[in-house]
Amino acid sequence: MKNRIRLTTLVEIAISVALAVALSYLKFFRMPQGGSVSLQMVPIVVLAVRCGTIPGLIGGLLFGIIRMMLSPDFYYPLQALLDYPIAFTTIGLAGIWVRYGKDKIDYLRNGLALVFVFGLRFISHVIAGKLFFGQYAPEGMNEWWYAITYNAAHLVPELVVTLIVIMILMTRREIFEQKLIR
Amino acid sequence: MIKNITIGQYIPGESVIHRLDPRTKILITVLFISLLFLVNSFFGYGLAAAIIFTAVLLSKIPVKFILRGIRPLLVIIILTLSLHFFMTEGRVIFKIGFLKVTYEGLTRGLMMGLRLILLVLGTSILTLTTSPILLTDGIESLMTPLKKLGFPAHELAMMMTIALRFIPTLLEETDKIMKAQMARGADFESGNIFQRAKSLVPILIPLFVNAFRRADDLAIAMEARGYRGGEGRTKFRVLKFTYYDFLVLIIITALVIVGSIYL
Repeated sequence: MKNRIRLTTLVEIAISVALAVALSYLKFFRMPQGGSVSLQMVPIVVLAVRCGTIPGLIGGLLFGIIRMMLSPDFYYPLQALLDYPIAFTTIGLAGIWVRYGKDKIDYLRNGLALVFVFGLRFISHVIAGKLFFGQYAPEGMNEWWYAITYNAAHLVPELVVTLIVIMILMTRREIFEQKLIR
Repeated sequence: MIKNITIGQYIPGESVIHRLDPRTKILITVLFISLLFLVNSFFGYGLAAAIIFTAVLLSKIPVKFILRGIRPLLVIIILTLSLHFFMTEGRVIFKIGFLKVTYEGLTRGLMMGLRLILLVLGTSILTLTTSPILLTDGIESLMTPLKKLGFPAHELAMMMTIALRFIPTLLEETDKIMKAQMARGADFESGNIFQRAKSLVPILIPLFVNAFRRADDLAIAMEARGYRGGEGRTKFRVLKFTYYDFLVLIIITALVIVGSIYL
């Protein structure tokens, strides 16, 4: 039985990652130099709440690696790591705080948790951007400012979109509870 | 909304580069990237460019696919070049008004631009000639030594393979559900992005329910066929490291060592 739960979790991580990649193709808009707004983070958050934080983290990591394999934006080794695997792994942390309650759902707590994990992802992208410009732009350019505005421009809409959708999905127990489907 | 999506960049082919073992190609790419960050002269970048040029020729991939990776970078490259040209202090070559171009700025800017282009070309040759599944197999195989330290290389690779296998299936399913909801009068195109996101909820619910049901079916099927993790498992497609892989790897390693010492 233990083996069965383990195997189910393994497959659910894989399918959630596939769903995240599929949803990443449904773009609301695209930034000129990489980055776009889509519902790609919804399956990872659902996975983290449904199966637990560790499966969520693994799912985020795999999503990052697959995104890197499918369309690499590779400019500097540490930049690539921060922009893909590390950035998306942080989303799995949502599993620690986001609670799917039996009777009452604490929307404020869940919302703040999502804002926090997106904040971590934002920091990861900003450091990656700073590294990239640190490598290729000459001294004196305000790299931090550019990295912060560029990433905020697509991460804030993505956060809001994810928040809206997760909040609506919260009322559907069959999505967040492992036993209920079938 | 979902039309003509190509997943990944892989272009099937039978060229010498396609037939190289994925592990060889991953290692070569790593070596190539380190070469780019170790050299600091035009000869060094010339060597890297020669390696890439040979790989492109041998891979028989149309140049247009290879250049496609550079297009989003064009703005950055031009920005990098011009910033370097005008903002680096040093020996002045010529002046246009208050803008002065320095020798240091010119060489530095050109080198940075070259490095960026070569880096993008190097990584895209890997993804253009290797299918994601083979790439996953290669990564798993390279990670095998870490299994002794308890690193779940097999499980991670298994999840990646399943995920890659189901991306097209789930895309198709998304499309199908979207069309079904559109037939009932759903509207996904109008409104701002927040309204559009909200309108996608009627797609997401059946999508999630179906996806998790599919996951459950798959887990049962795997268990019924006796899946017990990586221990003693055999593969349908076995990676083969040939003499030819060995030779290519030796040549590239030698070039990178020589390049990073002398150039």
